[in-house]
Amino acid sequence: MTTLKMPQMPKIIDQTCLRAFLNSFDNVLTDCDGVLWSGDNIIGRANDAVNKLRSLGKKIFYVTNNSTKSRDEYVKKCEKLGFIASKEEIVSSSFVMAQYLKQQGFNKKVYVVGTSGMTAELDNVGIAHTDIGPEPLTVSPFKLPETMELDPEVGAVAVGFDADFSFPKLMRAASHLEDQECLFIATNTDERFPITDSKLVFPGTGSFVRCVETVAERPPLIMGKPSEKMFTVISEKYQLKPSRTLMIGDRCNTDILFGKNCGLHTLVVLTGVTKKEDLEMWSKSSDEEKHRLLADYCLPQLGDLVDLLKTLE
Amino acid sequence: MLQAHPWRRPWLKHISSISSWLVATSRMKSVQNRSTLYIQPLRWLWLSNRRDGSRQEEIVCSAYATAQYLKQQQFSKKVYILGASGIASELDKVGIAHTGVGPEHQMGDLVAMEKVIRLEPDVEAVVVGFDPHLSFPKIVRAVSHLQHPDCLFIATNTDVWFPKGGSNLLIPGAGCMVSCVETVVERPPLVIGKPSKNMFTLLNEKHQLQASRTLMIGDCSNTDILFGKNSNLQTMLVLTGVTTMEDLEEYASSLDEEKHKLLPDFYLPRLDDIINLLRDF
Repeated sequence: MTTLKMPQMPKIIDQTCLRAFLNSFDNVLTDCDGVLWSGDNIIGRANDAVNKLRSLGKKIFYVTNNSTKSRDEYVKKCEKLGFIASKEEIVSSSFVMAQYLKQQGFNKKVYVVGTSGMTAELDNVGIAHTDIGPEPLTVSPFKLPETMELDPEVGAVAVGFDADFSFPKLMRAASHLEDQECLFIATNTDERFPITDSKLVFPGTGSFVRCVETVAERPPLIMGKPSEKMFTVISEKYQLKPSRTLMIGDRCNTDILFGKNCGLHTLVVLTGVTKKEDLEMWSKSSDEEKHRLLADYCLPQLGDLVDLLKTLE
Repeated sequence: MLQAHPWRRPWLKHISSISSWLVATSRMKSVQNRSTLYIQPLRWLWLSNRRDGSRQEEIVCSAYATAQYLKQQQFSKKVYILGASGIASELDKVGIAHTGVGPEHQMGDLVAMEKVIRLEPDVEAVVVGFDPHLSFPKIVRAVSHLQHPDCLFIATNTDVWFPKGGSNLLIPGAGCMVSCVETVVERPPLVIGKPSKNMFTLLNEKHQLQASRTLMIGDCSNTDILFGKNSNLQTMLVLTGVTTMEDLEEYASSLDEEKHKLLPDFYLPRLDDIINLLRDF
């Protein structure tokens, strides 16, 4: 009779396990929304915590599924909020998409459903793309096949976060993807856009991706977490060892699952999507898939590391 | 042991049986998933015994079925519609309040939107159908209302695309709008349209049709034919729309029994082939 292996709740980092925790990694991959900041506001002393880890000799990477900013824009945001950061340390889903297409030797045009965060990264690697922005419905939808012209140079459709998403854009994406040779790429599939303290719920990139996927009737190639592509891109460049790398995140079905998929250590903070009740529910579940969402370590907020690290000095 | 379906291509052999049903039943119903007002004229209507053409009670579209469902549930609050005017007018006919249809354009960034968008009060159901005015603010409203677990989530239908009719451009269907919303709210909608049985149940209540003496004709296996199978009707596929002969061969040779459910009892290349067959009958 096989006994069900009971999963462990993530270990709260305190003074008793702090040294062991610090000695287990040389590199840090940290998610941004919900861990370091919420919108344009810093979360507690997250900046001091990350900068302190850097001063202890850890290599830092900022890893984000958010496709709406280019790496240059992320560096500016980091600096504004007091994080030490350089362009090479930013790993965004838009950047990974551009790197992936470059590695594939892609030499056609990309139909972009998304923002300048995506087009700027494509420009950086010299890949042609369509313009972004609104395309509202101006005729009856059943008259569109007569008036809409598809760009014949398009060889890939890339879907990211797009607040200008519309029926004509959906129709273009779907029509390009009729050609089975046309690549279908998604920057990420997060269901909700991270915004806290709001009565409203904002759809994430996943909403647009699944919309296109429904009519394309084939799945996209996903660039962002939990896909391992983000880790592949940086580990090739910097020779990162998975067993010496820590992933910090707030969303278990992307960040922590990404960490597990890549064989990294994982730390969940409770300042974003995942709450303590979620962790308790998953640890009691008989579904082993839920157990994969449980991180190794846990902290209420990343800034708690600051006081903990002081105890070592 | 899993086996491929022993499906043949019976059409000439059985067409005399079909025609007897068509003439004998003398009541042709138009059962459509389209929730918009874009109803194409139906060429088979001439077969109806009603010489004056179709009457409204012969048309069952998913917008009508949705309104009837809400009426039967004694729904007395407001509906947020992510859909077209077909849904709005059917809700008006049964006296159910709704938020209206049409465009709502993106204004400013998310921070600005967050300040400006006010959700309508009293909304306790969200109905999603084909919406050519799909936009970010409309999706925000739909998913925000659906935060409340008691808010009903209804889809008129989940058809993925409209038949292309020779164009190289694909017109996405209601299924896309539904998956936009379903992805965010992480719960499935109640689907009113085909392949669900709801529309046959409605027709049956009103017209007392015998399922075994009823033929469902459609062009899409995974909505029309599956609807027919779910409602225990006879089924006929025409090849002038979504499903192709290659699709049927694929379903027949599949070991997945769910694919076998997509095989019609009969097929015709085009519906008007029936005209010549009936002349010989």
